Amino acid sequence: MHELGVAQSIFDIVRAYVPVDQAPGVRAVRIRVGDVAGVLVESLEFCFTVTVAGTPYDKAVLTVDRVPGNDLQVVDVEIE
Amino acid sequence: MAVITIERKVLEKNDAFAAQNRQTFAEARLFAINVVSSPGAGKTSLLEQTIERLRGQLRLSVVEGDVQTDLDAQRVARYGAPVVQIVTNGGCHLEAKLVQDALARLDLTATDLLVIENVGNLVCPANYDLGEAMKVVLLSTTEGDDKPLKYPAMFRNASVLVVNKIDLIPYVNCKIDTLIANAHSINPALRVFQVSCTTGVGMDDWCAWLAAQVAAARA
Repeated sequence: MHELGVAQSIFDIVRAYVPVDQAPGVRAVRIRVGDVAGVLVESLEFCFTVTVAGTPYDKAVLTVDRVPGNDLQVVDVEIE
Repeated sequence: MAVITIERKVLEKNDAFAAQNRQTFAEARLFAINVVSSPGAGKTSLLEQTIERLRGQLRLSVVEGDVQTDLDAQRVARYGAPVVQIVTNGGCHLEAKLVQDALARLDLTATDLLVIENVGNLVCPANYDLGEAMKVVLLSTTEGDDKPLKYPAMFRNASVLVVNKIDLIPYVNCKIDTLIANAHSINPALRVFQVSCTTGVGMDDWCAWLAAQVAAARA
């Protein structure tokens, strides 16, 4: 239900690590999502594309590692 | 192709505000609970009956979270407790920053017990720390005894389970032993209270436990 807010938080973290001049090269943002993190992955993926649309980071897609527990972390970013 | 390692928690901003709230509660030496349940389980009714029973014994303040309206804050205010309403405008849970803003409108030096009544929702509030000492999950018998299995995250993250509407057990399809066994299969450490806000049964045990927690926080 709160995937848009989660997507926004992921985007904020990515922007803090990747300067805007490198933004167009960002291909993948890898996140780790626990099975009881309360996040619907399909919805989060959609919300993330909406969040980055119209920004220099709009080529970024989420790559999701599913893990047990309630982890919800940004793991790394792949830049071309 | 380059990889930038990040390894940061997505909800770290919320967690940082929650840590600040926790510090504020510790400095005020108050006991704070985050009450979560599905809509209609009886969070506000439990609050009303709790205020009534603890009147004169300890000072209770309330942060109310709702998607729309201040109806619950009005109900609580009629019982004489200081209350601040947070309207989330569709948001499915309270976040620590919203609570922090609300705290500025309460006199925490005149508060022994702070009750944060979350938005009615057994899903999202499980994952947002507000700085509380513990989460109290409220479940009513009319919701059925399988709820803990269907919403495990909430029952895993809570420390206390209050089962409400136990006066209705003869009329609904809910076996109390099954309900509690299901809850303990998710979280064996859950402390369980059985109450009816309508008849008042079980409320004395619940309130005595709250008073003991408050005494421990003030010690």
